[in-house]
Amino acid sequence: MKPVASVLSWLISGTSTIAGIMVLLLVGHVTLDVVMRFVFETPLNSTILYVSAFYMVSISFLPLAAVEQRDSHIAVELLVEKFPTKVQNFLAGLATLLTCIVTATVAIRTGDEALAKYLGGSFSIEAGGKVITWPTYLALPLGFGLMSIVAGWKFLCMMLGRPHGLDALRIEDPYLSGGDAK
Amino acid sequence: MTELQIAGIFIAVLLLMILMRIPIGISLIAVSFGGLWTMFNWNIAWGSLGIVPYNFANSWVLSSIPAFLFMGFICYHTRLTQGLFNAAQVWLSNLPGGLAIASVFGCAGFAAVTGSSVACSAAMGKIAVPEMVRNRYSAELATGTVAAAGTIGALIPPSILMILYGIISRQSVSSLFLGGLVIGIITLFAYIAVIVIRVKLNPDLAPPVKIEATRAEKFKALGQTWPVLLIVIGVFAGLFGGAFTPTEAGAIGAMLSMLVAFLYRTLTFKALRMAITETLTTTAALLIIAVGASLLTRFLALSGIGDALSDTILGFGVSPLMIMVGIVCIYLVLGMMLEPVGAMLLTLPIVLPIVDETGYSLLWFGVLLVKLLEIGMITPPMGMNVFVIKGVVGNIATLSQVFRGVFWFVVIDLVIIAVMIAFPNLVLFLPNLVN
Repeated sequence: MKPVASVLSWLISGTSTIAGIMVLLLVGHVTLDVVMRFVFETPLNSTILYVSAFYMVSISFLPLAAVEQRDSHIAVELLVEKFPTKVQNFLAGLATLLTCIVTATVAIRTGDEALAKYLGGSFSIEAGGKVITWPTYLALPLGFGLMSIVAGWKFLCMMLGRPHGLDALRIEDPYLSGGDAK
Repeated sequence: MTELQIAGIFIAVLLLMILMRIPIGISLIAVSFGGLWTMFNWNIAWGSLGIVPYNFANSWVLSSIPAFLFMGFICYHTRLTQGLFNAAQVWLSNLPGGLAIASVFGCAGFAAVTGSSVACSAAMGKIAVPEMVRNRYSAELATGTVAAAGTIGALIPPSILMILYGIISRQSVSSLFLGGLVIGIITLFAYIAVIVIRVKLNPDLAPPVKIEATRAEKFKALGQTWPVLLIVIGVFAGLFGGAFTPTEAGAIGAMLSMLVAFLYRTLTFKALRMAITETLTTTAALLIIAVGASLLTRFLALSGIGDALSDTILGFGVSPLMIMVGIVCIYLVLGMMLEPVGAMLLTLPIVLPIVDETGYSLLWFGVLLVKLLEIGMITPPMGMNVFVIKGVVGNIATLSQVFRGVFWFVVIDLVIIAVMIAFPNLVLFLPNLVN
């Protein structure tokens, strides 16, 4: 069990690291564009395309597996909390299985789309010339696919009554973790 | 079975799935896909699943969400906003309930660099509540004030809820921010009025606190607020002056925050990693719901249920005011049970056409909606800000005490809602003036 959890944790960290770099690139690229526009009156070419298609799409979908691992989904706890533990466990298993199936379906469909864009050599004509855009479509099958695998792994561990062992991306809150405020 | 009946069944299934604690985003995608397949055909459902997620995320305006989130998380994890409460405390401590008023100002200042009310409450709760309790303030007043004041975080720009609303309703995010700014400031002063009146009526709630500070010390304390002031001025002068788009304002704000934290020597690798991780998981958790809501909108539009629902409601001959009162009541109840983003994205595909038909401004409704959903952050049973404050302050107060502490703030919030409905121009005059 442990090697699988380690590989999955490594993949979650990897995709999240790529998305994290995209956050820094987004901030840096847009800031540079603003500086170039106001100081040198020569804005960078294709900023909107790079930010929307390259950075934003990656930031939106690549961390999905991390969301699944950390149970950070937005869900309604109110009613389920009142149920007996057995029912709660059953519903948690059902939710995880459904997440696995739905995200696998989206991964297959968006994978089809990514393949079609790759085969068609999808690009965009910008002021600075031709920008290849087909790689941006890969973020969806990657994000949804890994999320599906993580959900599937969690479901399997639930069935076997074992902890899932995924431990990528721990967050320490500076205020809630008891660190003293200055 | 008619198309409307089929659509109604799928909506019922959606609600059932959500009540069973299936993630809202997953429920929305599953039901919309199933609905499109059943009502039309496999090709439309399969086609939508391939196109909608990419097209929705591939958006310049949407990219302001990670930018503003990153700015807020950098400020949060590098503790840039701590000087706000100290300055407000030195200047306001002589007023009745001065420390509580200072915490409201602290939250409003924090709100200007973050779009999250939970972050506001957590940060200010850790700093302000122990200080108030040490000065023999009632635990109810201390915790209730900070929990309620946190809601200003989603009103004063930047506001993640308003960005999402702006994208879905096709309203200008900058105009929504301006409307939110007005209501945020009104809320700020209303909360201060609540504190002053309560302390005047019952001085035991907040015994007078004397902080002896010379004029020089007062100005020195004010000087500690420069990091936040620099970021706020840099971001909002550009945004409201028309020089920046929301994405540019967020990116400049994030860059300024990192620069200031670097100068303050609080920008550690760990803080940066935490800020990035929280930005990513928050963005992805929001986006999967937004993609699901976008698919649901497609399903509702193609099935005609949205139009049919608004025609039915308008067909009752009820006045637009009564319809709006009904919508307000529904959101107050929803806010008690659902997290704001979920409640908003789940309902907007159905509610927006109705609001549009009634003739109310969608810009005004966006600000009203955010205010309504934020009330849900402090009302039982799912008052997230209250839970966060309880987590921050530990044994200083029980959960019931915090809920009791927010009671009068909820009452004044309802008064503000009534005023917003009675005088829509209160929200609209600043956006109209600037535009």
